[in-house]
Amino acid sequence: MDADARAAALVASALDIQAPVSRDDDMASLAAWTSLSHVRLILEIEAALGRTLGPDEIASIDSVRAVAALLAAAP
Amino acid sequence: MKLTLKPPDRRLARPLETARFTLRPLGLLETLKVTESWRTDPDILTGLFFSPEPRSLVQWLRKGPIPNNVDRFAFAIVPHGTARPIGVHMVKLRQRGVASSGIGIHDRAWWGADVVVEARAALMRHFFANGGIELFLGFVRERNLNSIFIYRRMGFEYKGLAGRPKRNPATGESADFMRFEMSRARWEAGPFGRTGDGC
Repeated sequence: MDADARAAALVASALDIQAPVSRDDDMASLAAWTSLSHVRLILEIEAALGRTLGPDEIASIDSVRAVAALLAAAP
Repeated sequence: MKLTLKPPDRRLARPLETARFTLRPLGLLETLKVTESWRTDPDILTGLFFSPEPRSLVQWLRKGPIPNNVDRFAFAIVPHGTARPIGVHMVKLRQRGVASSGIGIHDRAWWGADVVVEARAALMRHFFANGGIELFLGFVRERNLNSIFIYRRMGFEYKGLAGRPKRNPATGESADFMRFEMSRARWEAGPFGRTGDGC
């Protein structure tokens, strides 16, 4: 599974969305992307990467693409 | 509290309406009453001051979110159909054309209900339109994920870490603070400035 697909799956899981999530989706397009689900998403990304995210990385997370970029950069 | 002899700015300190709330400007005594529970609420205190240490009334008057309605404003967030505030949103006018804000939601039944985005959007729209503001600043503790979400959701730009780390005297924990900015141009081009709502 490539980073885009992994990111979409991770966002869908954290936001508890059953419908397909697109790589073009972001905070504004997904109503389920609330403050609470955002916290869940960051914790799930950290679990997937096996490390704590830094401030720059946390601030970058506003879309599925941004999540994919973090996953793709992981060794 | 910053004392001033200037009269209150009634153009800025006026009630605002959002989809779910009335934002009612508060005076000194009303603010003391509405925020009385905040002085011993560890969650609110940590959010505002990065320390859960309770504050005396004197400390609150000196360092608390007390408005003068000239360059410091406090708006009670009152759900439509009720009279009881669930929180207060503050706006502080800093140097010329720059403002910052803070918020406390003491009614925990409203946590996670995106109150902050709705209230802050209305206040930013009001202060950009009527307060001569060119830039809103936000400072957030690095692991305050809820607040970071709010700034990003509203379209604030992350500008890096702000100054030196701050230490929480109660826990000994040290934390960096992140700086977010929203310029007038960015606001007007963004979803909240364009549609007038954005929610």
